[in-house]
Amino acid sequence: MSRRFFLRSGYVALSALPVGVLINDRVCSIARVEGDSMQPTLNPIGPPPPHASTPPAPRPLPFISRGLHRDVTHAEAEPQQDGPLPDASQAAPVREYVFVVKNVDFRKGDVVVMRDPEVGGDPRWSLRSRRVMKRIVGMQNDTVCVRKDEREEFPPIVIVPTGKCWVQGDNPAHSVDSRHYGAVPLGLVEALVLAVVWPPSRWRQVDHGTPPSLTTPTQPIGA
Amino acid sequence: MSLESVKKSLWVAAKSVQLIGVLHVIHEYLFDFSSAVGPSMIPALNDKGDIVIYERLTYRLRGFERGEVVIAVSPENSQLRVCKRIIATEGDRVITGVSGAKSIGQYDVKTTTVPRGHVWLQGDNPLHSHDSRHYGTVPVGLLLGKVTWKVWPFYQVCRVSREVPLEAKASVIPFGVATVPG
Repeated sequence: MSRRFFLRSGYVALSALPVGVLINDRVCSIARVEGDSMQPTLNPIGPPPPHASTPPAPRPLPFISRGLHRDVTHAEAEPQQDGPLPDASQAAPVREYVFVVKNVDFRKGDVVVMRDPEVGGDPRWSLRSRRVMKRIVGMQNDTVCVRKDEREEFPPIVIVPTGKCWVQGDNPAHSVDSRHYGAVPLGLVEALVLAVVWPPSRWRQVDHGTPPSLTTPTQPIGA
Repeated sequence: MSLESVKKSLWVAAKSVQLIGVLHVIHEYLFDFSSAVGPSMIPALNDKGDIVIYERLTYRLRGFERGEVVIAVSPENSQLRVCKRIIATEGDRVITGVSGAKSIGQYDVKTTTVPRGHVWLQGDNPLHSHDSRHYGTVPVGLLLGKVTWKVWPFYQVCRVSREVPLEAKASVIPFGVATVPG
């Protein structure tokens, strides 16, 4: 009896595996936040930042194209942090896990998971699996102002080319992003970060909008 | 509607979801078919009507190498797929322009170094190809798989060769070679 039970549960698990892979690849997934490049939005040191006073704008369901006509207002931008960020050596940040959805259209201000455009070294198994979390600061044809003290090899004002986007971490001091490797093809952007789900004490939605660190906001051409 | 028919339709729904999942796993991790349209890969692939198999397994194990024909997401439009040949991999230098012969055998050669995690894609038919010469190097994350077989038209079924065309080969200075060939 027990043998039959094990065989049966093994069969069920095997037949559910492809469906699980399908959902994980195309619908939604859980991702671990590595590093401190998105502080204080993700992996903050100390208590997580308070919610914005206004709730974030309602977001259409995944799989439904949002279209190009929707424009983002920055009224719900996060409040500015007072003073510098806490020192990383003071306390080890908690590793957070986030819930991400795939197959959505991305827009300016979204926190996204994307493939690292700069993976180097051993071109093996890790090649495709290295992902980074950044915020989209400008979509195609937007003008992005990169503060002069931050830029490395790009001019202070960049017009994002067609089909690409400009990504930056919320913690500019500890982030390798478009300021180093330039605009990124949208094909590399994989998923949209919706909420922090683990640890339970840190349950919260992730705000989409202007990052708190970006003092020079981006604006579309002609605005 | 009887309980039996409800059960049966539920069973059919579960089985079809499972079938979609199995197809997804095969197409995402083993191989997939694609039609190749456009003159950019003549003579390896025809102008239109070709169907190729691209496999998605070995690059996860061994990465990409020079000479392989790949399917990639276009860097200029994430909805489009392109089919090109890898001419240079990271560290190689590609000659993008030769200008002004100062004297015999002396040229100003402009080269682009392929950065970490990028490749240089080029069509076999350079006159009719929109490729890295226009949009620059392409991150490896955009590559979807290696084209291995041409399976249609049926009288041309063959493996797709990994031979870099001579013209393209001449424009690449492999990693580690210091001098520009004269």
